Amino acid sequence: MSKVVVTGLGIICCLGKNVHNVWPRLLTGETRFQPISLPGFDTFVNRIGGEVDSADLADANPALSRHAQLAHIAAAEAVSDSGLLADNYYTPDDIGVFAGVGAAGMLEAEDWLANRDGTGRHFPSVRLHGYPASSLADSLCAEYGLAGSKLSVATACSSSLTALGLGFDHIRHGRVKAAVVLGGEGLSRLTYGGFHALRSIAPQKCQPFDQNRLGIFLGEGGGCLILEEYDAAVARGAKIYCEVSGWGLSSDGYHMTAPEPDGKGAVQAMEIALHQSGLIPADIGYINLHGTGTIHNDLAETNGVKAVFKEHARKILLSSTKAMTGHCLGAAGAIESVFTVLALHHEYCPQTASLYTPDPACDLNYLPRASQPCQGVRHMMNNVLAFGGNNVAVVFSRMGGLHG
Amino acid sequence: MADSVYISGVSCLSSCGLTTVDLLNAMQGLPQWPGTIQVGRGKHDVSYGALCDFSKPLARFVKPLKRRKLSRLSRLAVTAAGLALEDAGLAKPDPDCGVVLGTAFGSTSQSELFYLDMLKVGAVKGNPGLFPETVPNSPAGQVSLAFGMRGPSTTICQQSLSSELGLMTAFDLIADGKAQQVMVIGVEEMSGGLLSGLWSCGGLQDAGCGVSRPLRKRMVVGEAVVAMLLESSAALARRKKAALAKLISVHAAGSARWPAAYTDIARSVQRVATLTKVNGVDCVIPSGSFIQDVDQQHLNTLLQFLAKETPMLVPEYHTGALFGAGLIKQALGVALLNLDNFMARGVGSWVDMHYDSLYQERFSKISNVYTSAITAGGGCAGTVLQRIS
Repeated sequence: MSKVVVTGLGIICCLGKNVHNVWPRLLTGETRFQPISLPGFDTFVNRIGGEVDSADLADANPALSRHAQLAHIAAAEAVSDSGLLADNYYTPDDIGVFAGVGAAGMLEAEDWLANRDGTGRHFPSVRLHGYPASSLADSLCAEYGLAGSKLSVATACSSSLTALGLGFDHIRHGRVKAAVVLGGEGLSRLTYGGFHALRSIAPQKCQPFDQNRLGIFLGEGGGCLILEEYDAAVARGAKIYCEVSGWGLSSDGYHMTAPEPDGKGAVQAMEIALHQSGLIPADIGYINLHGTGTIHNDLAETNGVKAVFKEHARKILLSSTKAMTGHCLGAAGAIESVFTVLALHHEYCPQTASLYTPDPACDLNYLPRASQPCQGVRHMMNNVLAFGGNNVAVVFSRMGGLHG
Repeated sequence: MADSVYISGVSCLSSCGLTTVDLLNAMQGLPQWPGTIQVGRGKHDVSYGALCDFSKPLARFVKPLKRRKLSRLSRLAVTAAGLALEDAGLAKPDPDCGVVLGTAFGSTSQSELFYLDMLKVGAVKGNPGLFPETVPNSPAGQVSLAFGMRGPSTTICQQSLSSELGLMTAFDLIADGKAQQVMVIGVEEMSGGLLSGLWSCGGLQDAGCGVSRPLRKRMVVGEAVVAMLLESSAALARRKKAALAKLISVHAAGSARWPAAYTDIARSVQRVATLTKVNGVDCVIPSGSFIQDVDQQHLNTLLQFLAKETPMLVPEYHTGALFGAGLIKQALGVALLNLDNFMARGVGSWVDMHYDSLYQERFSKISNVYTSAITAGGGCAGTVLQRIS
């Protein structure tokens, strides 16, 4: 089986666009949450969220829906960063696209739906082109002329991390030589109203693992990682950030919206990822947690980490970057994977902003309000736990890092 | 790496009936379109392959109180999974059984219900019971809950290739040893909002699509749910169960045009047929879009690899184009592999792809089947199924 490496990164979120802008802001714990200014959100009582600055979308393709605009911006950065399309090293058939989405083009479909009976066929149907979950992968393949495997995942918060795992599998199985893995999420009224209905939106602050945490802030954005088969990446002289060494996924089979309190499903995903990576728990030095800021999620995930890592759990550096980006749902896995790869690359782990009063039940090192260097850490993990009981964990390793 | 992947249980609910036998029977007659709905401010009717009543099998797998909380899409998925487990001779699957769901549009009806309710009662008073079922992977989650499946779970949404890519994902999970059993489900429902949307994008034919009329430039759609239990040879050996068919390979190729349209069909069909080594298969089951140019191009490309005498059937000409429930092709393939003889009344032919060119096709002792799916948005996926000797 081929080794799979990361050779390009791209990102856009409420902290800005491009890795060189976002990464320093993340490390300093900067937050840019504000009342969402998109039309129709003024009817929500709590409407603070992680909205992308309109200036960062100025050059976006207006024919695309918002989630695809965001993901295309991230993809453009990652493709350029990796030099994937330079010199025609790969044929179109060699490169696959693996996209994760949450609500996809729901924001535009909402307008269409609200006007359907009044305007019928005359309402611009172009507004609906982004509605199918597959629209992001389709539009990206079209933009770059890619013709390898094309696959869209819609598993709520775990979508783009699952997409990353499937891209990894497709390269290992020889189905493609390279993969553009991306996640895109645009704020929509349906999603915002849904989390409101579930009483999951925090009124003032998003405080993962804090004793006073009251819920999530929704965010939006795009994240993209370029994966390549190792030998091909070396042969074309690509810059290699790290290796993807394994991934695991599981289902809770417990509840549609709440995690199992002991984090059993998350445990299974983390253990499968470690097993496929050929690692033991003590090899992992940092985990980018799902860490939404809800009472149940943060506790279950903490319990899951303790169950997998035992006494080593207290030595691992942990954080929830959602404290700075908000919960970007379908894009969360890709965005947080970009952060995890950057943490491994720069040997610096991002903090959990807004963690002031640790919850006694969440008693691990979540890097409260201070990012931390992590020289010597060779393996890191990214976790997501999603609606429907979907759990995914991915392990990233420094090159030559097995038990290194 | 596991050596082989087998299909041990199948269920198939469509407008043709609640079983694969119903589908086979329907394919000996003329297509019918049981559903009609008004779109475009009520000025136009469109016909579609509305799913038949499935309340009886549903009642066997979901209790009444629980049923109320499930979207129609989740009810379909749970029912199909339950029937496929029964077909496989299992009351309960292994706890580590995975679930892979394929659906192009997810539960559009639930999203419509929740959003319109929210507009009516106010943004902050949306019904919390409706929202979780708007998520496309909720049917997979409900299947996990209903049958205690805690293995890998995911949901693939790639238009009319969703089922095939779901099969591919399950195939890889078993090959990698990450699961020994995976329930693959392809499901699609048609809601008023979805049909209106498809119509307003110019994708649907108006009502009156009779068999005497030639294929058009637009689609006739349908709804269905198909479930298939995939198992490794080790899992089957443990419970001393014979498989229904062997899944030899699944391949897919992308390419795309934006906005979504059928494009570059010949190239992706050729590539997939080459990867799957399709030459010499006994029978072909292609997808059916109802768009004459598209379907003719699909078949003409396959003919580069196959003899004109190769039997061919298009189940979607009897059910409507099924998008994410395209797994009906594999369900039909498994049925044909387990029959010694079957006489079908085909719609369309290799050389003259007209909807009114009904003809009879005889199948006898087929040892393998090739399914070929194409999709709006671009791309093709193919699978090879083999008879268990």
